[in-house]
Amino acid sequence: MEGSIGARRARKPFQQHLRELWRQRDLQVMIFPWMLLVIVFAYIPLYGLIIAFQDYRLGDAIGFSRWAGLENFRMFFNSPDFWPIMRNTFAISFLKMLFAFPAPIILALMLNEVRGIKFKRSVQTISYLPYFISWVVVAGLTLDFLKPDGSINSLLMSLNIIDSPIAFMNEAKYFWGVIVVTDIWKGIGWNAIIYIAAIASINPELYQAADIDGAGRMRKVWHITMSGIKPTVVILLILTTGSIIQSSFDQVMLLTNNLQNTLVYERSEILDTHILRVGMRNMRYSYATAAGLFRSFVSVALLLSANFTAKKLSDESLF
Amino acid sequence: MKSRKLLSLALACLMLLALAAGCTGDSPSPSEPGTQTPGGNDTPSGNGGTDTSPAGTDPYTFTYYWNYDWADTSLIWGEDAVSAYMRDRFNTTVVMDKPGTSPEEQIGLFFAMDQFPDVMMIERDSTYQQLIEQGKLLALDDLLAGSKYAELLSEGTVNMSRAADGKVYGLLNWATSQPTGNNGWAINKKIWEEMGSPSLNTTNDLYNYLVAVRDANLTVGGMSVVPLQFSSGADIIADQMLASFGVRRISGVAEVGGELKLHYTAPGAEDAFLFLNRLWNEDLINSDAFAETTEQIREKLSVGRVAVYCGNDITSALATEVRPVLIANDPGNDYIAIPSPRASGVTDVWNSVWYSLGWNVIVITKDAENPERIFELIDFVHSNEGSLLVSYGPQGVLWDEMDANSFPILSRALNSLTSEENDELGANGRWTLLGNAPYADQSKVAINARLPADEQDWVTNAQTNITWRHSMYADAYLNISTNPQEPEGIAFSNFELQDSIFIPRIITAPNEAAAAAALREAVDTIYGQDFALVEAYKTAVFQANQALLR
Repeated sequence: MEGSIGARRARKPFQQHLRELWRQRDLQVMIFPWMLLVIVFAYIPLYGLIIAFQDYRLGDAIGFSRWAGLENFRMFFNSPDFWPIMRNTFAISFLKMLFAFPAPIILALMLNEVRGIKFKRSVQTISYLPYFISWVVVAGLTLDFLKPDGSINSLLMSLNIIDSPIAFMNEAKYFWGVIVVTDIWKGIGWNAIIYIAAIASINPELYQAADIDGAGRMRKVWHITMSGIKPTVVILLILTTGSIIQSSFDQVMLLTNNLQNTLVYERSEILDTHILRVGMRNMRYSYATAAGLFRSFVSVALLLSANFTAKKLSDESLF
Repeated sequence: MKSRKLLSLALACLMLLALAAGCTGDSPSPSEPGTQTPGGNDTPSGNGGTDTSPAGTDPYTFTYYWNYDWADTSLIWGEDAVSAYMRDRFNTTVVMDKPGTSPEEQIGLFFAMDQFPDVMMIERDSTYQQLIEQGKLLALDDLLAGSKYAELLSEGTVNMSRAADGKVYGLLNWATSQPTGNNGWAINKKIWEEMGSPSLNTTNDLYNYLVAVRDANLTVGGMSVVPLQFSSGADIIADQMLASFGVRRISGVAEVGGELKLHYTAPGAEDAFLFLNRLWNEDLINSDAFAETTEQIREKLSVGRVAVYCGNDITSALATEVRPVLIANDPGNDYIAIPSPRASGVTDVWNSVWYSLGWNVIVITKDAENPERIFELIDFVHSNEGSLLVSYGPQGVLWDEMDANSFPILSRALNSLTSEENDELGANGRWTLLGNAPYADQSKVAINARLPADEQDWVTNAQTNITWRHSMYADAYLNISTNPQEPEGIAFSNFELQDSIFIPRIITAPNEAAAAAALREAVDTIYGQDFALVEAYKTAVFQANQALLR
């Protein structure tokens, strides 16, 4: 991982630009399908956003419905659910940033210090296997573990930590915790790989030099390893911030039994599930599009501000 | 160097091709898994079936879509005797399908793609109306002329199924003139006898029995017995308990003095919810009742870990799937369907409702390539001959001759089949593409009457003696569902969400006072979101229906 990915931006005359393009023509051809993919699946559908400002009815041709101005947005912002939904969306994402984001970094740092290569490999393999289990299965397992007569309760009871079983999925207060813990469990190994790779690319001479200077182990971890992977951490942090408002959908969906477990509703309804519930299930497509558009705006704003902050604080940035 | 460039160019072209292939419209749509039916159905069978098919000799495959997420569509056409018979006779293959997501979302997707399955089984609700208004459905009037369907149903019933434009778009599934219904209560025989066979006529009896079961600390296989288990979902819990307290909730409302009012406000509703709250707080209902899947519940029922069961499937899944497993593992044990417990002062407990128009409709969409062949098969299944086939299998397996009413005389009881034999035969209504209620019900009763008491069919007895007697005639409630895109429909959607939140909240409130407070909050919240519009709309339709029926 090199320093700033996009900081280098030399000015070149146009002809030189074309010449460079021609020189890279094989690479350009390779990238073309993906550009097309983005155009077809990300840019062309933008046209559909028009129904956020219309009153779309089933069967209308997209874009030819009655105009509704900002009515859909007004309904969304005035909905009694708006603030709880925003709170849940941001709280879940914030908790994930706080706990699930640093977890793989810590795992990577710890693995880096492990000397036994066999042990290191097994930990790595075991910890990244859950990534390949789909959320459907993970949620099913989680719900079974957390049942009043499930294994977690049996364990806590036999350790005398609790007296009577806790019905975890009946009480909203446990929901965020369940979301964050399962997220860490599923993602920690996989996400650690990128940091382990970044650590591997640190020049070993730096460690030797630090040894000569008499640096202890913690000092080396902090000053060499951490600063070596800092650019990676910052870039990933910016990207995570951009998607803060649109994560957790699968998890919430599946852990609430397809949104049927309404006992946890006050903590579980996030923007994405609200869009699904109102837009798709109640067939209010225009309203859902308006809410979705709002979501995209917040995403972009968060991404830009994270990028800006990172640039100001550490000179690392995405663009 | 040169070869590397060539390679990358070739790679890039390959990717382009793959992308283009992904974009073309002829890839199978998710709604039509039929294009890859296993079982070799696409080869015409060689036993002369093609000769008897009047509608043409080409093999034809169509998709039959259930708009219900609980539908079991794993069966494969042609793998059992019943469907093989129909395949050979009509040279037609049916592929069953169901929503890949929730039914509402799936219908939205169909509209978005403007591509519908050939045949759909849907509720007679606003979605059905939208499909008609948008011109997605085929008018069936021409096909109906001279059909068995038109012959079997009374003209009045067919006319009631006409849309606003006077045409018939939906075939009435299980149209009937007598009560139907599968909802109600059943108890575990062994546990009940162990407890001294107490009477369970009233809700107080029920409460005492549940307490006794809880205090007995019974276990099955090391796991504790659940005193009262409901089938999955807060709605069912509310519906069935409200029924015991004399409130019949339909689509969120209940009749109060000739008008349809929010169900929480009906007399008896508060008592029902407080009773549920009490059961909950005394650990008489399992604590994961709101977070359970159907599979988890069936597992408990199969091993006999449930003392009292109340649900929407006691004469379907409980009887046909759960009971055989329970009896096989524990001979002598059984489930007994019981008359619904009632609160004091309640005369009629309506656990189910029935409409003369039956349950729902089967529609043929305009996307169907060959509607004549589809209708031919569906009309056959609905005919008495076809109903005989899908219920009792072809001649020579379970029956050889018929009685005077052309009901089969069974040589062996249906429920004596092992599940393998059942899969081989494919009878028992698993291929009922269009239900013929009079035939199905009357033949069952006739067959049952010929059997000695100890061999009689559990389901038929439970239906005739219990669930049908707890089913309310509800034609006055036809078409009260709102269009979700109109103001009253938006209010109704908001209500549905609030209702699904408040029902569990009231039931799980820590004490009676908190439950009553939550109930009042529910009423305030729901009326605060324009529920009066919903009441006005539904009441108007209801009163118009009543005037028509009078």
